[in-house]
Amino acid sequence: MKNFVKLMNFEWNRVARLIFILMIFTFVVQLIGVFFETAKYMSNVENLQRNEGYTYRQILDRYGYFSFSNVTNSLLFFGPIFIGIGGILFYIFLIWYRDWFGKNTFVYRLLMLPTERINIFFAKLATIFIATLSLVAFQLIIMHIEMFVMKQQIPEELLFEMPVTYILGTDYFLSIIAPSNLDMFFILYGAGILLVSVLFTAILFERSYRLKGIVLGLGYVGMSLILMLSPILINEFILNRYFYNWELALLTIAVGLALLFLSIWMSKRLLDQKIRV
Amino acid sequence: MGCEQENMAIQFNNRDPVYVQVVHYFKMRIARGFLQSGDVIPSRRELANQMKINPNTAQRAYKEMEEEGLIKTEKNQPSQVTHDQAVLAKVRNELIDEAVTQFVDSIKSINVPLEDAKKLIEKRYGEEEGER
Amino acid sequence: MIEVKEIIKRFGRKTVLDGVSFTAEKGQITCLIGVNGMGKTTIMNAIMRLTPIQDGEILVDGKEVTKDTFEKIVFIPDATIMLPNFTIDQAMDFMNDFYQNWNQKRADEMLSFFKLNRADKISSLSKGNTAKVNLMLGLAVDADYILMDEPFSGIDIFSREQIAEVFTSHLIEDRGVLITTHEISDIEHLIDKVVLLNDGQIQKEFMTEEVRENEGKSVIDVLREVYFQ
Repeated sequence: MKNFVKLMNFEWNRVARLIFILMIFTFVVQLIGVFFETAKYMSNVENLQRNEGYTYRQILDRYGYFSFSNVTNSLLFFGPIFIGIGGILFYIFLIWYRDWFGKNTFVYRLLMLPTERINIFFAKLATIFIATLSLVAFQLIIMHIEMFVMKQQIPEELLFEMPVTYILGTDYFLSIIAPSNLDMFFILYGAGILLVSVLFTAILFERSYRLKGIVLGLGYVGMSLILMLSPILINEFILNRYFYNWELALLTIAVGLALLFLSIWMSKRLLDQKIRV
Repeated sequence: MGCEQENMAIQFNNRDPVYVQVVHYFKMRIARGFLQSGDVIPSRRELANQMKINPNTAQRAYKEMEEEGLIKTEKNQPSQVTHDQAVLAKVRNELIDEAVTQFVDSIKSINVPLEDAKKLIEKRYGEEEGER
Repeated sequence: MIEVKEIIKRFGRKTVLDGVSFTAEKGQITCLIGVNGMGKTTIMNAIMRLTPIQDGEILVDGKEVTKDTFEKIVFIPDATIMLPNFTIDQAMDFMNDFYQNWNQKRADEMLSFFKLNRADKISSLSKGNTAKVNLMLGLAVDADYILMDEPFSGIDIFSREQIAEVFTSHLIEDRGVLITTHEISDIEHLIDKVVLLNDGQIQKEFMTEEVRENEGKSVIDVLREVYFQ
């Protein structure tokens, strides 16, 4: 356990700078997005006021209120989030491969540490998880700042204010990243952890058997996919919708948990017995 | 050759056991008078380090020298060159004998008569003395 | 004692180790010599469980290698295995974090012997100094056994001399050392035992002093016999 914490801390320190850069990048680009969207709206407003002599009432009829959705629907807002997600997905692979490639093959050191090798797996998994949560938490914080900035740019009469929680609840995309209720949080992040574990196992297949391992790894991912969908597929096509939805959901969660344990068991086996430097 | 008082570096040859070469080296130093009876010699660890040899080899060499009575080691004391003059004299004789045997062997192998060899030795010996 | 018993290792259809057996004893320096190709490094990797073997077994002090064995046996590969952006200090901290047997006194001693600067980044070091840091990080663990893969290859003559000097010191004394090399001349006088590997098999296993004493042969003489008869 102590070694797991040390390893996790170590892995975190290796990625922290990257996460920090991503955060700054996100903040800067999204702020630009706020200024861009507000300026676009206000220039329309000012045009109507100056050239057509519109009142706020008439402007609202024409353009509607300005709300934070105008910002969140902007590429400058969700672009950085996609880059963040892409970064995390990329790092799921990099977190392993960086230890094998390059002049200094650190994987020797890692595998020879006097600790259970599966701790390396857990440390990397936890690091991905923490990195994701950090990015999400940071996003929630800067949304408040961005909203504050927005309010400075738009006259109160044209502004439709909504709290961050409301936006998170209504924006489809944001509600996945930051679920507003606890059940959803556990299910979504549980699914995330499961996905990363399956990918890690596939990576370890590749690292153990190399070329042959690519096939094995892809096979493992494919099998996992089928396994996860199996309750739904069986219910639909074999059992003629025998289960209620909540039963189906429970079944899927049970299969997911089983798959998680299978991935951990498989990874432990590969790390202990099959891995190659 | 004469002034390597503390320099322990020796060129080992690869075909004789290293420990034998170490023992031989100590005998030479005793015969030359650099090491005298009662002198403290380095610990086997120091020796290994100075001669750049394996500590096991140093150990083996010391064991050999102890068996020959060349050095003695009291418990928890550094090893010393023996006080036994007979042993020291024997070392000297052994080395002289070895050198002469070698010389005679090579002289004989190219058929040099004893008289010529003697003359040559006298001549050379004188030169060497003169140089000193 | 490290016991390698009848190990078989294949890469695809190529058999790299074909029933290799030998032992390396505590308190001795055992040298694994192979003129050509792989095999030597693979054996070391197999001992440390860094590559799977198809058959055979490897025991350290009579037991299989597990995580606890890694406190007792340390492997120093021929490449740096620390993060390049670490300083020497950070690398030592890392080792200290994970190894109960880490001995900082020894590490400090070696730093001053090798004249290394603890604030230097590992990526900025010369080849010779990188090898020294590698050696330092391994030897400062109070392990019973040390495996070293080609500690002399590709580094300057003075670094080689310094590293050879370590072999004659208390840093090595009483430990079991298994070393691979293809340039035996650097350490011919230092080693106790030679294990000759050729074409995936052990050709000969002998004590150097015995061969010198009984047959009047140098290690290279024996190599010549084995490889060119």
